[in-house]
Amino acid sequence: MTSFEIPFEHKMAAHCETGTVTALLNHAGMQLTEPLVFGIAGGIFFGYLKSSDLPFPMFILRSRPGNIRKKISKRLGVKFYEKRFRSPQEGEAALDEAIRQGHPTAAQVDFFYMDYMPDWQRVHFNAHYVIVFGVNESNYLVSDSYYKQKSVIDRQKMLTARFAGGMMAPKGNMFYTDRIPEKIDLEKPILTGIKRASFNMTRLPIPFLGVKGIRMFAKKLNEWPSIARDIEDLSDRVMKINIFLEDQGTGGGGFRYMYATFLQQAAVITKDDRLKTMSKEMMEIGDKWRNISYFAAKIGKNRDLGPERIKELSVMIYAQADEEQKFFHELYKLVK
Amino acid sequence: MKEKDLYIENKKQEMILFAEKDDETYDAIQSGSYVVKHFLSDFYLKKENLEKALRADLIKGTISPVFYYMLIQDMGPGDLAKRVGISKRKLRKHFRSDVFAKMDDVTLQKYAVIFGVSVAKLKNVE
Repeated sequence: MTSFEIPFEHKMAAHCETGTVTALLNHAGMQLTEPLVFGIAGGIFFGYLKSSDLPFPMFILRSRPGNIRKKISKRLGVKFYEKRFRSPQEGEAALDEAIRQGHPTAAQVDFFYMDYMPDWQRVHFNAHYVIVFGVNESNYLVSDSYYKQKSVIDRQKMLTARFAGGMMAPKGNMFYTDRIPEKIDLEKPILTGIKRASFNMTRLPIPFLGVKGIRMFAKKLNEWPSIARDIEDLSDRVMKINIFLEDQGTGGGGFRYMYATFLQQAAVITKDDRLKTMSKEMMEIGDKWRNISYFAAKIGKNRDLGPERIKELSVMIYAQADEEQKFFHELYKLVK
Repeated sequence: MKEKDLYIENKKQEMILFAEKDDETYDAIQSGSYVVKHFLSDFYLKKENLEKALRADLIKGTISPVFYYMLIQDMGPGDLAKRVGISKRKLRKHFRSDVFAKMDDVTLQKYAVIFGVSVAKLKNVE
């Protein structure tokens, strides 16, 4: 097999899915920023999750994986070619063919197998997205938003990563931009994205999602000492609060900084200064999440994890729920 | 947060954060990781302690390598069972060293691929 490489500009991005979608759109000639992609897709969210699929309760700060692409497609009229596969061989052949046809192609993978990343970062997570832009007999060329430079990954490893089973199994999912509209009016998609995100944060009648989910997190945190294996495990879980909020592709402050940036850019596009005011408020909310993440890292490192300290952290999270309820309620009224 | 307050110098792990620039616009900056800069050694210390404790259990025969790797790689039992294509009940049996010792080659190979190790390494955790 001869090697084939598509000229592709690699850029780091805050988050893998928004970064991947943004890079594909940019490559196709549509100049859109990552915050705009995130905001138009209504990506901001919160959920507190507990399941036997997870080693420990965890929280999410963004909408369901795959939703960014779907909502961008729906709201901007971008057409993506997207496919999942039953057979790994079929999936591998389809990816090779897409690259040979000149399409930089997003692939959903289990992050654990991305062996160019440092070992402390690599965890089993089935909804990581990378862009494949080159192929040869034994390797793929990969652009991963979380890595500084273009990378190379072994063909067999990529196949394992694309066809890992389990929670949110990728099933070889791949997509590329098929057609982008010639002219796009961003105002309506921006307002739709804001409306949907505000609705999801404040009005979903499910106790572990949106602002209700933040309150559940604050409450359940007090139970963590009794479900952790030991103090070392508890320390690890509490320090992961920092990682979920900052390091796992959020743009900082649990996606709140990226959402503030979206609102500022949205204010310019829609010529609505009220969104600029809201963007400042969102930035401050992000600062408070960052304070929480610093505090969690500090008490986790010091093994200072007695009931009073955990309660202190819980109180800080409750306060975030109140702030976000007020914020998204106001934001919803602005765009209703 | 202002760019100067958010930015962390650390080349080991870099990421994109959004910060307030001097002209009050918000934009992407490339920064280091706070936890990696300050607490990476603590992460490795905890990992080493966990590996040590689990290896002792392996030697005693109270757990199997499947249980060892599930904990080391921080996986949920439901997720692992789905990846192997078995029930959670059957997976719990695989946590026993006597059941693991009789495991067939196909199942061993499935676990080896999931954990990213060879079958030989799966059988003999070092």
